Order: sequence, then structure tokens, then C-alpha cells
Amino acid sequence: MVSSSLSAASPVRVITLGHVDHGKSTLLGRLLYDAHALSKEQLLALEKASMAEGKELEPAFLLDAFLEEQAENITIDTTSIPFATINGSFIMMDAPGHKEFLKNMLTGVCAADAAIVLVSVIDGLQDQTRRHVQVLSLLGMQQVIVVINKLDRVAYSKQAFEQVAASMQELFNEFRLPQPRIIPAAALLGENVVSPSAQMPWYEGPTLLQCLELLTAAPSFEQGPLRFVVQDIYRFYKDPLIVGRVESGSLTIGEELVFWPQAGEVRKSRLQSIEQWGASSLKATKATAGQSIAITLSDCLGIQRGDVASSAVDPPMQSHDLCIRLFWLDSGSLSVGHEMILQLGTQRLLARVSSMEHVVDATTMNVNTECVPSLKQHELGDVKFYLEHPLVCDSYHKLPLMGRVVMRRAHTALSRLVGAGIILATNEAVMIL
Amino acid sequence: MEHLDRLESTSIYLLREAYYGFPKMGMLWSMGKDSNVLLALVQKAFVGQIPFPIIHIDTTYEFPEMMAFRSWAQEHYGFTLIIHINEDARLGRGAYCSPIGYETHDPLTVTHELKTVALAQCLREHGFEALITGIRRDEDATRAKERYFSPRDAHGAWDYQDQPPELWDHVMMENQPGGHMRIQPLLDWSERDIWRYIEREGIPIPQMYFARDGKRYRSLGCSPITRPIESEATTIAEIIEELVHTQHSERAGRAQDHQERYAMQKLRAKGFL
Ligand SMILES: Nc1nc2c(ncn2[C@@H]2O[C@H](COP(=O)(O)OP(=O)(O)O)[C@@H](O)[C@H]2O)c(=O)[nH]1
Repeated sequence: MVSSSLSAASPVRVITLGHVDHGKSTLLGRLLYDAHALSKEQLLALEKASMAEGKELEPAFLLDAFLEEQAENITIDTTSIPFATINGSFIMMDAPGHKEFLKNMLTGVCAADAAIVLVSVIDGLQDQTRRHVQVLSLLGMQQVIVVINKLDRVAYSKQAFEQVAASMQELFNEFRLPQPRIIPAAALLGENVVSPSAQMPWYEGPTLLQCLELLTAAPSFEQGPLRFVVQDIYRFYKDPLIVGRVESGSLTIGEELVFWPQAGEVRKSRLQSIEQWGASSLKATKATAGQSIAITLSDCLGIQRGDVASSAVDPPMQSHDLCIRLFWLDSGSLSVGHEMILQLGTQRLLARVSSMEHVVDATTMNVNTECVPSLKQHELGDVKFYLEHPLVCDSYHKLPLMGRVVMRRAHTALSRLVGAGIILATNEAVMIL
Repeated sequence: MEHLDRLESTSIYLLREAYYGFPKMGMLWSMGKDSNVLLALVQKAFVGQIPFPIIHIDTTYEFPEMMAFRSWAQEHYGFTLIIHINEDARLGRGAYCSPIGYETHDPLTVTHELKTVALAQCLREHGFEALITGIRRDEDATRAKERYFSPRDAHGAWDYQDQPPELWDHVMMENQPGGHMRIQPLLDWSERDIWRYIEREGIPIPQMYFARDGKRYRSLGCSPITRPIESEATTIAEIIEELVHTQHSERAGRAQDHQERYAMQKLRAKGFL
């Protein structure tokens, strides 16, 4: 095994996307194999599995750990595999390419810092490729690498590569994503995966591994405005403990916090202490973005789960009307008048669909600029919601962590998440895709 | 933010979500390194409290040293400890016509009866809505596909073909009728993260993880089927150094995982951790 990167930095989470059969599992298996990132047991299992299916070495088997998947050679759910080189550490995620498993793909993208989009040079850009790039754009993914695969099947033709590369560049322009690095490769044979390819002297750019080593993990929002999301109130001790997470900014003992939502009078309280437990912690005087903390306040003001604290300056919005650019996952459609439970942080609020527009058709990807009555599975649209109780939020473009929502159907037992989206500021409610 | 701080914060966030969503919850504790990291995280999340019972599914094949650690920890932490043994299986009574054990049965059968079935009995007896477990994605390929909050049906089974979406930190907070939720706050941690955290926080663990006479245990299970590895690592720093260079996987010394192809998948689909 290549010696692990010893830095204290977080591993970069990289999701691999692409149309089914374009070679995702093969690429990841090959990457781990060629970078010597496999244990003896994994190598043995890989050889055994390949032999059992009558193949010499099938890198894809490494990832498809599930019975059903190996038999049919498809990926159902996102899997993650840690892997490190001297220059970086990564968690590689393999997302399913099948349309039915789009919810699993979305689960993966939400957890990723960067994405690899894989396209076969033979088939070129396909439905799922478009949809995946669309989702990356919706979720504001900034770091994307495109791998054009199976170059061995076209005798490593530069022309064939350039043709598919051009269509990808166009797609990224269309979705307003920064232009990606594009690599010609043959995953099955390991060309341009870890080592540069002798078969493609016309390509002088980096290999996939070299590109990966340039990626960075999630940014911190420490410099942003304060947003502290309340999870719970514990009454274990004399003073009630308010627990939650700082999503953005920082707070310091003695500081005055303003709690949202507010109806009428201002809810203000002074931060008395930050309570910690454990050997490593001195008495803390400050907490910053990303930390889960427990605090005591001068006055608890009826604070409850779902409340958000800010500083006096730069507070969040509190809105009854929201415009959300929404990706719809459910097989049943979303229609005007439907009631949903919107979730942001620990807030859970009833919301009714009041109108929708700019719907992108799931198959043709055409934009319908008229108002429409419903959003079908895998469609994207700008949906207006009315909420009786206001949601405390920011626009996604101002503060991503406070501007992204998920939703479930209201009045339904065991309801799963059926949509995810970003909150548009009032002046953004025009199609920017 | 430093990597360990980020992992710690996410785990605490998830533990607090679980405590809010499932008032009737317990935490599985095997006395191993991951379980003890979980305990430390619980104390952080609840500011010194361990506000739910700790559960040990006792196979009766535990190493004596682990049992000694159990007694020590019970005193040290002062938690409520539930110890559950599948007595019927061990004694060969009730639904069992003969005693189940490593002396007479293969590891898969024993693991299923003394761990998975025992766990189901314990759940029923105490009516838990949720169980906190210390599994990690890097331990095994099927665990790699897990969710932080992973629903189990009334039979304890895991429907890995249709898991609920988990978007950002929004987890499934509702149980199927008769089912329970597995809460898995250590999913994102690696073996090395666990060791670095044990070192940083000074978390007590059994001494069997450290080398004696050129051998140490890297992963601890039932005594008849758990093998030590060759090692000279007597400190945490040496263990971490060893992990950087090893070519073997963590659970290589655990027999039930390797008996047949897909063994872990079959065990886990039926409710094993
Ligand atoms: N010729 C050739 N075949 C490839 C290459 N990469 C993948 N394949 C084959 O394409 C098929 C689909 O690959 P797989 O990795 O399972 O695709 P996935 O569905 O995207 O995960 C398999 O039969 C692979 O062997 C490549 O670079 N060259």
C-alpha cells in the first residue's frame, strides 16, 4: 500500500458519475489497483470474484460488493472507499448510473467535495450524463473532472476524443459550470489513470490521479455571518444547555445573540459559557463554523429546536414566501396546492406549493418557461412555496449551508425525502441555468 | 477545521439528532476500540452524561481480558449496562434442539445465533426504537454503502436495495412498524482516525490492542475465531505507524467474514452489525 498521507487535512470526497456502462466501477477499481491502495485480502477477493465470473481481472468487481450487483454488473447504491497517496487522501464514491437509483446518486453528490464525470468515447454524451451535470450545477459543485473513457476502442484517436470533449465543454457552458479538466483514458487498461499513457502521445495533460491530488476539501464558513442552529435543550444541570452547530461565522463569550424566528419583539440573549467535556478541552471562549457545541445563555427566551442565532448585524431572512430551485425525486409528481414539510437544518415547516415555472423536462432537458401545474420525477423547476410560519434562511448564493432545503410529503407516515433544492433570492428567481 | 474535529463534530451532531428523534434508544458496546470512542463522543454530545443504556451482546466467548475491561468500565463510567446472552441457543433449549457453539458449529451460524438473534431478542425485550452502533465504512464493502441512520424492518433486516436518501445532514427519523433505526455516527471514520482520536483524547481501551510477545489484536471478536497479528507496536503511535505500512485489512483476523463469498453481506442483510 502506498504510504498514507500523514497530514491532518480531511480527505477529499470525490464522487464518480456517468451513464451506466461507461466504466465508473472499472475506473475506480483500476485507480485503487494501480495506486497499490488495495490490501492483500481485497486483491485476493478481486481475483477470486473475477475468476468466479470467468474473467482474468475485472477491476469493477472491487466496488460491486453486493451479490445482486455482481451478478448483473450494476451499481445500486453509493459506496465509498478511502484511499491515500503520498500527495493526498481521498474518499472515492461510486454512484449508480441507473435512473432508478438517482436518489442514491444525489445522496452521494450531497456528501462530495468534487466530482468525476465519466463519458464513453463510443457512446458520447447520454441522458444520464446530462442529468448528472445538471445536478452538479444545481448543487453548485465547483470541482469537476471529466474522463473520456474507452479510448482503446477507437484506437486512441485524438479526433474521437476531441469530438466528445467539445460536447462536454458545451454542456458545462450550458449549465454555467466552470470548465472542467478533460482527460482521455482507457480505464480497463489503466491508460492515464495512474500512469501516463504511451498510447496517447498527443495528450500532454495530467493523469486522473494527478488531477485528484490538486483537489481541495470543503471550505470553512468561519468568515461568514454567524448562524448557530439549535438542535435541542438539555436540562441535565442547573442551567439549561442549548446544543447545536455553528454553520457559519463564530461566537464569543459575552456576545449578544439574536434568535430567529421573531414575531414582534426582538429575542436577544447574552452568551454566558461554552460547555465542553473531555480531556483535550480547556475552557472555551469561542466557537467557530463547523463545531457542534453546548452553550448557556443569560436568558433562555423560550428557545427551541429549529431556532437560529445570529449577531445583531447581518441577520438571516425570515420568509413566508420562498422560491426554490428544486430537483424532484419522487415517482408521484409535485403539483400546485400540495403540502410539503420543508427541512433546513433542524427546522421543519409546513409549506404549500403556490406556483411553479421554468421546469426542465426530464428527458428532453428543454426548459418550459410557461407556468406549469406540476413537476414530474427527475424534473427540475423553480417552485414557489407559501409557509404559514416563516423559514429562517439565507439565499444559497449568499450562504450555501443556510440556503439548501430538502422536503418530504406532509400528512404521510414514513415519508422519505422526495426533493432537494436551493433557495433563490427574490431577484434571482429567473432561470440562470 | 482539523480533520478529527470535523469528524467529531458530525458524530456529535448525529448523536444529538438521534437522542431527539428516538427517546427510547440504547448503544451497542463491544468493549472494542470503536465502542470506546463512541462512549467518549456520547459524553461530549451530552456534556458528561450517558443518557441511555449501554448494551453488551455477550456471546459467552469473550476474552477474559475483555470481561475484566467490562467490569472496570462499568465502574469507571457508571453507565446503565444491559448484558444480553442468547441463553436458549447456548443451552440448546426452547427453539434449539442442541447447544450452539464454536465447538460444534461453523462461525457464520454461531455469529448469527449469538449476535444477530441475541440482538433481536434484546431489542424486543427492551422495546428500543434505535440502536447506536460503531460500524465504519472502511471496515467492509457492505458497510461502505451504509447510511448514518439506517432503518431495519420488524425482523431486523436491512433493505440495502432501497435505502432512504440521506441528503446533507437530513436523516430518516421515522421507524417502520415494529422496526428500529441503526444510528451509525462513526461511518466516516477510518481505522487510523480512531487511533488518532484515542491518542488525542486519552480514551481507555483494552490492552489486547498492544503487542505482547510479538503479537497484538487489531480487531476483537469472539475468542475462538479471532487471531492476533504479528506486531511489535506497543504504543498508539507505533500502531498508527504500523497501519500506514500494512498490506492487510483490519478484519482479516475475524473468521466469520471470510468463510464464504458474500458472507458479510448475508450476515448484514439479516441484521448483523
Ligand atoms: N474496452 C474497454 N472497456 C471498458 C473500459 N472501461 C470499462 N469497460 C467495460 O465497460 C463495461 C462497463 O463497465 P463498468 O465499470 O461496469 O461501468 P459502470 O456501469 O459505469 O460502473 C465493462 O464490461 C467494462 O469491462 C475501457 O477503458 N475500455
